[in-house]
Amino acid sequence: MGKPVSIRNGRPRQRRDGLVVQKLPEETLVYDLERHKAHCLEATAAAVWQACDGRRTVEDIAARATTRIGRRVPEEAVWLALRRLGRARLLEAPVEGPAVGPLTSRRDWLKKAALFGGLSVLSITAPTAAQAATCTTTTACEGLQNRLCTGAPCCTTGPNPAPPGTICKKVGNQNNCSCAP
Amino acid sequence: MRVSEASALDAVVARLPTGWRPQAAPLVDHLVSYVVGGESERVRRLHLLYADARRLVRTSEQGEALAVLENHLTQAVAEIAPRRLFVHAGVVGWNGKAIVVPGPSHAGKSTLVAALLGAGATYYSDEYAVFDPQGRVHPFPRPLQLRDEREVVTSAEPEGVGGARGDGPLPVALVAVARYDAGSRWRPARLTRGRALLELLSNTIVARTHPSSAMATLSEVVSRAPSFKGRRGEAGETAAWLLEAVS
Repeated sequence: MGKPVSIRNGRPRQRRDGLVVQKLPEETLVYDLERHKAHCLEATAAAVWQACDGRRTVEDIAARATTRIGRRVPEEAVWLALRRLGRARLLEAPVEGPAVGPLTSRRDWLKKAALFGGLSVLSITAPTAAQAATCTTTTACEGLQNRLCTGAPCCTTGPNPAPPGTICKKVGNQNNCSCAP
Repeated sequence: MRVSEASALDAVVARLPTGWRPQAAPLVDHLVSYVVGGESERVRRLHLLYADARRLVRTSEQGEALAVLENHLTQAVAEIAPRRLFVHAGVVGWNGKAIVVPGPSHAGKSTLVAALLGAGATYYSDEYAVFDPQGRVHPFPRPLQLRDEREVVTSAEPEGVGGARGDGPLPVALVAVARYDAGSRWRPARLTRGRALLELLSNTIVARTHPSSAMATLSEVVSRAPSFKGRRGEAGETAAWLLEAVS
């Protein structure tokens, strides 16, 4: 692995505004109110994130995380966690950590992360109410007579996806329903 | 809910969400207005449906207006219900506890719920898991919507597929993310609590509008119930596994 380079101000700071945090016994859930993304931080990633107060160096963060989770967290693991936390927009400023170059491929990073464990930051985009609701497939919609159109959102995934924002409705004088805006 | 003609009331009442009851409260959270159409004296009036001031549909077909009404009311209840969290999921009861199967439309929830009912489970819902703040799940027993290979939907009462209706809140015993994939065998992986919470959140109606309360409620669920994820083939095999796991 290449020599670590310093982050922008040398002391990463966790983002606090616009986040909802839910702690679980082994993980921490973070909801980003601006981007509507939910992140699941494994134990080491969560400990690193919580230690990023803008005053601690990477070395300090490693020591703090080690104390918090009860096993050694090397500085390399902190760098990996900071990189992932930065990508998830959970830090005030992006991290300019060890560069991924010829000697430090993405595969090397992933191997290291697997070796250290607990560094995963899994993210999803939260659904809108319509996305989380029951939808009608295009095939099913077009199979309905126009007096039975459901008015439900049309499914935007699956074998015959409808355009986003369409509902199953009667269009003009057609005998059958259509997915239309 | 208001209607321009009393003659349409019976048809409207038949479309109200499951578990509805009259309220005398003076404040209205959400007003839905149905202006009944029809033909008279060579004048053709369209059926109009409004949610507050927003027009939902304008159609010559009363059946379409009523279908849109039913769909809208169910969705509105899921979005504005106080102290209840609606997650798109199938739910059955077994030995005094609930099995929750979250997933989007067409993931095979209704088919799996029907197989569970056929094996003796009690029916809670094939559309929404309705959670209270303690993480218990309440019944939302609309008729099952079973889809054949041509995507034709048939409504079925739970008794028709061998199940009885559940009638009270249940603690959750197991969460199973089981997506149908023809020919697959059900070999699920155990989910961590955090990943299980993300799976539930990705099917939660108010995930964006009330993330804090949604995550608090869902953490109650995943803190008590083990969660699994996998692809399933035949529903019967998966149903037997789920019931055995809870037993």
